[in-house]
Amino acid sequence: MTNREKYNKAFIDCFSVSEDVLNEKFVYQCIPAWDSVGHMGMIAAIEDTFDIMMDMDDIVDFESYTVGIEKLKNYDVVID
Amino acid sequence: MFLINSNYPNRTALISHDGNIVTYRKLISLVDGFNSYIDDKSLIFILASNNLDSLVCYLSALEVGTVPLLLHDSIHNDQLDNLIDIYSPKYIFSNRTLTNKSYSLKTSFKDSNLFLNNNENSVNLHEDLALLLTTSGSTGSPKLVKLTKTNIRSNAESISDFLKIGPNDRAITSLPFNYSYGLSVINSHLFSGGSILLSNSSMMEEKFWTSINKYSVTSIAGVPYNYEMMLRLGINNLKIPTVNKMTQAGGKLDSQKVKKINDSLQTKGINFYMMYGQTEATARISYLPCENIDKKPNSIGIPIPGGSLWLEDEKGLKISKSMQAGEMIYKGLNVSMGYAESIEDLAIGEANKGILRTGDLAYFDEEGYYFIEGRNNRFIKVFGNRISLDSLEKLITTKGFDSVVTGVDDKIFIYIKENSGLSIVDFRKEISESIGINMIAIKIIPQLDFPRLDSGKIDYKALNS
Repeated sequence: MTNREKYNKAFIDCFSVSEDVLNEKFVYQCIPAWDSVGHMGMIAAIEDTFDIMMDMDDIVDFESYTVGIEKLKNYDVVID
Repeated sequence: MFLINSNYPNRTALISHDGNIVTYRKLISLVDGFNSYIDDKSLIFILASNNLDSLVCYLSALEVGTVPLLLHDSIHNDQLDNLIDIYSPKYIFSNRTLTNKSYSLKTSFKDSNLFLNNNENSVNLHEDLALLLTTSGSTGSPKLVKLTKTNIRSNAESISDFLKIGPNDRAITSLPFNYSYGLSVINSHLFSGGSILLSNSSMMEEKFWTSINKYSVTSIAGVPYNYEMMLRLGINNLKIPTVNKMTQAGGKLDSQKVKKINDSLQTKGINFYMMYGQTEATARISYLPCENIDKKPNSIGIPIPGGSLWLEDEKGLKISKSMQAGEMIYKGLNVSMGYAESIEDLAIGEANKGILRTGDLAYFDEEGYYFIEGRNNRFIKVFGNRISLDSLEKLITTKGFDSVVTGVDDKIFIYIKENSGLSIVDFRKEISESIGINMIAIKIIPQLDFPRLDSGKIDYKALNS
């Protein structure tokens, strides 16, 4: 699996969404499932997927699908 | 004015999310102003969020003698309509537009609206009844807890006492207003002359942490899941120098996490209080004094000031020896009048006589500290919400499916007959939305058939294994 596929899978599994909604409009609280509880689950899934530990600032700033891609660069994870 | 401390009129009572300061004097005048909108001896549904509007409406209702039912402002329309059908309140206060055609706009208050029932409305309310809270808030059960002013005041007083809340304390609303724990934070601070930062942000948002520092918040409350969040964020790295008190209730934290949290908070000079309670006791029943957290991380502690706890064995006899398990019973002025499941129940007076059978099995140690071993009833706590597994099964039946529901704290397992012709993904989403619990906690497990005991009852143990 590519990093993009892994990254998408974390969102799809956590929020039960289809891949075509994953774009810059997919943001925190845009669907009921992405609330604070869902956010924590998604962060946990991404940390497990890429075997990283994210800093607090990156976790609370991780406010959209696209912002997340930027944040992951801090951990040398590149989503192409 | 009921509940509100009158000793410090010029001190801050509330800070709104946009930074506006409301003094106690101003708060009292806002409540006085609102009083003219509502009549006494009627019912009002408040679709509450952590804002000034909800708080003023709540305090005004208590003052006037109109009984509020507190609901979450994001309550599902079907559940709201069901509650309206059963209780037909005279008023509904909400920041959203109502789809129910029986109500029309009476007046606006800041960002919210007060709606009036179009039909002639009278209800027979018991004179002691002051407030209604939901029992689980999520499975849509109309079962409500009936609270009196004595309940509210005595619990606020007791909480202020053991948490040592005073005029210099400032809490942030980290929990929903309509949740008994969230409400108890508000009540106890207004009672003690402390202040409250009204916030609807979650711990997963940067704003939550920046506003704590910006407004010098001293106290944070959380359910176990909130502490999981802090651990995930890195509790050692949290920079919250003004905070000196953190409380936890709404379920059990495991003892390893307790130790990790407490160690970290101690280095920051923050006192950590673990507490136990039920909505049936307004909020709090017991607390673990901070100095005993290391020694007894699994304990729910000792009864709150003014309350008492004891255990009864299966025959109903009081257990006097330590380390023997029995059902835990609580007595105190904060024990509710009873439940309501219909409008007629609102006229009925005291049913509990100050005594609450908690449904929890517990023992106490030589020093009188209580430890919970299990539950008599099929209830779990999910993100601080109490979920009745039986009610959830019933809810799923109304959706036309045969299911068996089991669970542990923060996890719900729904076993459903295979070939029910449903999409697991959609079903999980539907259940999540109708009970207002994030789907992360819900697992749907297709089963060919359900294991049964000889009696024909579901064999829950076999399902879980």
